[in-house]
Amino acid sequence: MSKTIEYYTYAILGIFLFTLPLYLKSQYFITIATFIFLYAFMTLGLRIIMKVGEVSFGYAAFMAIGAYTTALLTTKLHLSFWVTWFIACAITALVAFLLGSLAVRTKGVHFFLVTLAMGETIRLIAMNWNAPLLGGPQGIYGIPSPTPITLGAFTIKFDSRVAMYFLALIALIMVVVLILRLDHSRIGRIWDVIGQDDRLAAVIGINVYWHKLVSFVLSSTVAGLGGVVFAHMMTYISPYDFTFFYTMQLLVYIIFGGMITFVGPILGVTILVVLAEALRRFGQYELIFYGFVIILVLRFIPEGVFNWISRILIRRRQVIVGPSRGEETSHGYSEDSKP
Amino acid sequence: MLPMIIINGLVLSLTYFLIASGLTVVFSIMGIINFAHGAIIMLGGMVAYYSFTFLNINFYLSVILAMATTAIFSVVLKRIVFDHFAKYPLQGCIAAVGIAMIIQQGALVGLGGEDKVFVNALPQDLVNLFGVTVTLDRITIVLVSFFIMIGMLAFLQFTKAGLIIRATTQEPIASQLCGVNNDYVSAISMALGGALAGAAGALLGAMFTVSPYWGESLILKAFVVIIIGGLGSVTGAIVGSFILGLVESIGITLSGYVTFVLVFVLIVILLLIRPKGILGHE
Repeated sequence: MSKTIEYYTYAILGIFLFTLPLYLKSQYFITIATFIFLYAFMTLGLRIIMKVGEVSFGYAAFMAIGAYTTALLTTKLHLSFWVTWFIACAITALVAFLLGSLAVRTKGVHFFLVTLAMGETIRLIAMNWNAPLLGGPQGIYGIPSPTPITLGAFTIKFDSRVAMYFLALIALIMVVVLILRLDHSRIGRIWDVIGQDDRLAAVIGINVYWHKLVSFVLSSTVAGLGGVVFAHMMTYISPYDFTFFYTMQLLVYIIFGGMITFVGPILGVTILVVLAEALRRFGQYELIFYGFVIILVLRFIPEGVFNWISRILIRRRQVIVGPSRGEETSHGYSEDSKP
Repeated sequence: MLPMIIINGLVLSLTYFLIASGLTVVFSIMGIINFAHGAIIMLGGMVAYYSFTFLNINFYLSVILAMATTAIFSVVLKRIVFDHFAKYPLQGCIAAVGIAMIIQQGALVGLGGEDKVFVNALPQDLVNLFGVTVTLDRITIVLVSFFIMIGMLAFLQFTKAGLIIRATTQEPIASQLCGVNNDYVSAISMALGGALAGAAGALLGAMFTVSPYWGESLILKAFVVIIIGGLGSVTGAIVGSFILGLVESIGITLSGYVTFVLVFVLIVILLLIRPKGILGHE
């Protein structure tokens, strides 16, 4: 795909998404779209750490840190949302830096286990420590919606579903721009190298520890942002929202969509969220069908849906144009899961 | 105080060993983290519950029946699912999540969501042991798990199959060059892991209760054990479960809240010294 077509596609998609609430009046669909945006940028955040070849299972816990920070600041100190989201992200980044500097010493399955332990511990702290402040297992109620912005005569209110839709969309666009910049930058390339072979990366002079730490902090900060949006969207958070299974769900989205480009995770989220909604009428059998779909799709297209589609498209073009264009360079994700 | 800590610690340790050992055996050979392990444990508990209450089979026979069922189930699972993910470990983990979803929701739909209680399977008499009052069922379960632990160690150490499993864990390609059928070995390890999960489900189910999503809470503890002991080594699982069990027992005796902080501090210190766990290998 040439650059101009790519930018036109983004522009059209952006306009479509921004005007969607005009012709989609149903609150139900708006809520689903909001959730898709939220999950989409959360999966993109998880993909940042997966670029360096690791999977962080403490991801949901960093989301919890962001959510709890903004919830406490807005409910106890009555600060404005437009201040707290930044503070929440900063605190998440700080915690991620401290924990990450320990976690990044490990790799592969050990990294997975260590981040899992850290994440569960953060969740347990939220559950057990200082119940009057953090609310214990009940969590925090009545998180206010973002404060209205007054621009001269206009006042933009944020207390409706549509407003949350735009908030989630803007957060998604922020993260997508970040990812786009990252994927095409020197640092992104370095992270790809580390993801493929961190020993090789170390040999050619890349500081693997530092790069992994930066990607861990960045990824966790996106999780914190996700937590902020989640808290203000749900107006209620509890430690049960941020279990290890939440991270697992995000990982399912990424693997299902394919993680080579940033489109894959978004596609995975969209397909699976819509599928889950479509299966809802099967009631109790929903999860069973869902499980079967995941297993079957991964069984036949293990590289993810998006990569499968693009491979088919490229092959078709080669049949028409001839093979001169060359295959898309695929820097696949390889995990040394077997130590 | 001290006897109480030790006895509680032993009960907890052996419980954790039962949960974690199957996971680590499967990982050491197959190279995937079996997220369906918790669901298989639950399945073992369900089999033991139904065979004990409805078929009136002796409890110990029910445990063996549960082990056999989950072992066969695991091998079938390997043949129809995991074999296709040999080249894609991460995708294999996600497929295991899908399997766990199907098993757990299937159990909820088919068997009902209520807690299955069969605490009457074992004698509930109180016994005075070194000045600590313990129920007899805990002692029985500790003894049975200890027996399983010894049996497993003996199997790995003294039989030819155990030797082959250990060799394949260390060097899969080299052992294949020596004429080991890797596919067969991973089927055995999967059966072993399944049998351990079945035993865990049956024994812990008799101590607590069994419900469809019971396994999820157990498997997290298994991960902590594995972090401490090191992944892929059975001795590591034993060491890890004993450390975790004793630390938790100390924590519970001192204060209920301190427990998880203690475990976390332990993990962080361990990480700083040995990132691979106590007995883990590269």
